[in-house]
Order: sequence, then C-alpha cells, then structure tokens
Amino acid sequence: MRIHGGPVTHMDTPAHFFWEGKMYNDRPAHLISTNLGATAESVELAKDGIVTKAVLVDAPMIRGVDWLERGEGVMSDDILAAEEQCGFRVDEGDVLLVRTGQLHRRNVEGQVNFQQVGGTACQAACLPLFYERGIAMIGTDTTNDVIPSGYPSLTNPIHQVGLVAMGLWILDRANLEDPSQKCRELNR
Amino acid sequence: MNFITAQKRVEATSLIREGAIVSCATTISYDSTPDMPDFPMHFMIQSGEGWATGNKVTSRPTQVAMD
Repeated sequence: MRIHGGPVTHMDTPAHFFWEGKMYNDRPAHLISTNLGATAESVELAKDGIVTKAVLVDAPMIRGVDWLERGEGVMSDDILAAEEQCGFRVDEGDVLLVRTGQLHRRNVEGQVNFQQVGGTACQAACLPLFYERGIAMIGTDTTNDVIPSGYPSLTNPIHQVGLVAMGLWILDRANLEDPSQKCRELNR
Repeated sequence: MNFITAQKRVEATSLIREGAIVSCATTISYDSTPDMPDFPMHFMIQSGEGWATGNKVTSRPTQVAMD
C-alpha cells in the first residue's frame, strides 16, 4: 500500500532525509535501499506503539484567527504563549502537536496544491526550542515545513535538520481537529 | 525515538484523567486531489473473483484473498 504524502497521516522517521549522504547519527544513506527498505531507523521501531505525553499547541486559538495563512509559520513565541495560557510545559520525550488549522481550512475552502499556493507549519526558527526541550516527535496538520521555506539551500528545514541532525520523528498531516475540539470541551 | 524512556512512559500515563480516546489520523481517501497528486494505492495480490465459477487462474492451493 502506497500512502506517503499529501493529506494522509503518516510518520517520517530519520530514514526519510539525508544530508551529504548521511542520515541521523552519521549513518550512511545507503542503509536505506530499494530492495531492503530501511535497514536503519525504520518505522518498524514504532511497531509496538508510542507511549508518551503529547501536548497540543493550537496556534490559531493562540493568535485568535481561524487558521494560519499559507507561507506563514508557527513561531517559538506561539508555543511559549500556549504554555503560559494553557498551563503546560513541553518536556523531554514529549510529542509536540501543533495545529495550524489547515485541515479546517481544507474542509471549508477545499483542496489546494500547497506546492503552488504555499503551506504553513512550524517555522524552522522553532528548531532550537525543539532541541532545547528534547521533544521526541513534532506533528502538525500539514507536511511540517513552511512552503516556500524561505531558505535558498534548504527546501525542508524541519525535515533536513530535525530528522538528520536531531533524530526527531515527524508526524505529517495529523488530524488535530478532533484533539483540538476535545481540549476545548474539557477546557484544557 | 529519542528520550522516551520507561520512566517517561510512567510519568505520561500518570497524567491520564479522562481516559478518552481521540484519534489524530485523517481518513484515507484514494482519490486524486490537488493536494494529493501521489494518492494512496491499495493493491490486491489475490482476490475472491473466479473461485465460485471455477475460472480462477492461480498457483495457490487454497481459496484466499490477500492484499
């Protein structure tokens, strides 16, 4: 079953991106092969499930908008503001979920090609915060990189730095509408 | 996955108050859409077609369907 990409919820492991022929922990990229698949950093590492704390940052709620605009990024200040307003802290080993409202916008306005019209996600400037806090996974309701990235040499900085340099797992196109609604119901 | 230790799992599960289940998964669509040019594909490598009529062409000894 081919499912990677677009609006299908999926996890990216450090086997997904390389930098100068190397993957996370300096492993050679050829460990990911056509005939054997990912012989290192495979998604099968999560075959028994992932049990940890997840925190949801609802960026549109923090900013008082329906959704973030395409090409606009969630910033560290949004995450810090959510911690202060909602009374939680992003800790080591957490899954950080960041809602941008793009799935809501898709439901309201229809589908668009993000490569053509632009997309939103956490801005790459959030990476130092991710590193300092030691999050295990970042998940958003988008493909986890602002489009265009704004960095001429980096098409996907969250992926290229997060996966390769930090070993950060990525959850793409998560449905964060339901968790957001649940948090509102519980006032949490 | 980094930093998720047994102690972390204990701490995380101790935070549960409601016990509610909320999915973070979108419903998979097999349609081609503007934001899904590489749409999901589901392949069957053996189906139920032909077994009842005796027209099944297969090397498999048992009547099975598999994806």
